[in-house]
Amino acid sequence: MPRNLWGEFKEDEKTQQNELTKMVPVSAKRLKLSEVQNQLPAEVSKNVTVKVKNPLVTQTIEVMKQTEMLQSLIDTYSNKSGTSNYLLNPCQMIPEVNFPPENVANFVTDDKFTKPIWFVPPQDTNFAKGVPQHYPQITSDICRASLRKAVCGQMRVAGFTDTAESALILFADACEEFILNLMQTIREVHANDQKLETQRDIEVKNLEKAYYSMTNNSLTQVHNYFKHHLIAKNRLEIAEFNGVFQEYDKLMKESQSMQKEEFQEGDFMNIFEMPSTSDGNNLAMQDFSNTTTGNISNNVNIVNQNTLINLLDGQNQITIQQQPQDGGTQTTVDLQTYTTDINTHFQPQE
Amino acid sequence: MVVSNDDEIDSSEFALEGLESAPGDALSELLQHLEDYTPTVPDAVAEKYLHMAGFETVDPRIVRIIAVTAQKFISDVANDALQHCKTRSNSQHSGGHGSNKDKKSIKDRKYTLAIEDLTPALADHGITMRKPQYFV
Repeated sequence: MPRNLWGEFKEDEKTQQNELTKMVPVSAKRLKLSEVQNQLPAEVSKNVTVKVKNPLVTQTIEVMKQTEMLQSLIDTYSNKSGTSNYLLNPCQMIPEVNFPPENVANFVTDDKFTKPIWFVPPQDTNFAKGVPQHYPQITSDICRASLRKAVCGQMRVAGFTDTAESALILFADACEEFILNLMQTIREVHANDQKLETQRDIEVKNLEKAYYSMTNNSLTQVHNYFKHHLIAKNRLEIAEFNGVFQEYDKLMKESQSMQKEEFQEGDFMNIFEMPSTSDGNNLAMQDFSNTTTGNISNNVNIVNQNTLINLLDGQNQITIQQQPQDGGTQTTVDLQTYTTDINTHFQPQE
Repeated sequence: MVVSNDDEIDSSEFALEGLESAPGDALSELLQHLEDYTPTVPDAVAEKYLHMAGFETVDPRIVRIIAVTAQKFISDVANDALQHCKTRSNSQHSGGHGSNKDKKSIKDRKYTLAIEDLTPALADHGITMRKPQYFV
């Protein structure tokens, strides 16, 4: 007697299910496997770039580096005397360093941060409207690496030149701890309200409450931070760079002008050779007879009365090249008698 | 708002409402201009931590403001740590020989961030760090 089973499938459903669960022979599977092996799936590599870059911070750091480089060049090739710098060695030219003017370009328009925030009309963009944006999925390791890089940038802007590795790791972990504490505080704010307890979206007023309970400051302080710290520091560094660059440019031009002047060997040797003139006070070559030595005539090159007297300072005797008529030798003349002879010779011509 | 016949009470209540709405207005103004505030901490990092906490924030402005607050925290701690570092180095130089060269190179002095400088700076911002006494 045929049995009626409860829940028995109908014939139409049985055939469909049988098709799905029917056994596939191994030979058919081998054909499929060979097809799959011949057409291997193409490897898809997904690279996500997370930019850790703030134009203001990057520009501030670059400008600080350039200022240090220029200052070291100035300190190396010049000496400061008073308020001006003087080249140490005129023969040594200062190396030329070219910095493109785009390095100190103004990234921030004055309207945004000089006028009160409510004076500036907001731009009608997707971001301002709150349109959802796509963010790449990153791991915790990448988060920590990004935080370390951000910490390094902020430390350089603050004024640090070096850091211990343990301090850097500690700082990045502290930043992560701060963000996690903020998340926890937001959760506490949500937990206090039954309507918000299961809400997964954050409203700005709840965020403000959480931030205020953590730091005792409003979120609007972010605007002050940007204006009074970040932008002011950027402007300060650019102004300092411009000042140092002007000083360097002045020294460079001075160095180049000194290099252009051509010195000849004869200029140094002929510096005391002066053309003969009738004026006794000017450069003149004169012959005069020395009456104190009698018949000996002396040929002395006289440059200038004052110059000769200055040259004779500190000397008691002077050797005069003479051409004695008798064929005698060189003699030395006492200074006092020599100077009196000069004075007597020059006086009539003045 | 309570409606009453006393005009003075109405005006004071209106004034109170104006005061309460001022911070909200400032915040809404800030949110509209957040696109200009490019943070050093990427938005993706802030979004990751929001996701870890169980939030599914759709508004990019909230993500941006969290990233900017993190950057502000880093900047405040760095400035405090620099002050501690300068105080420590000045006390070391004044306690030492103290020559003219040290006085001249104040501007050129290099500052290295150390744990000793970072610990008090973090403590001022609510993060306590303690080193273990010894390793067993």
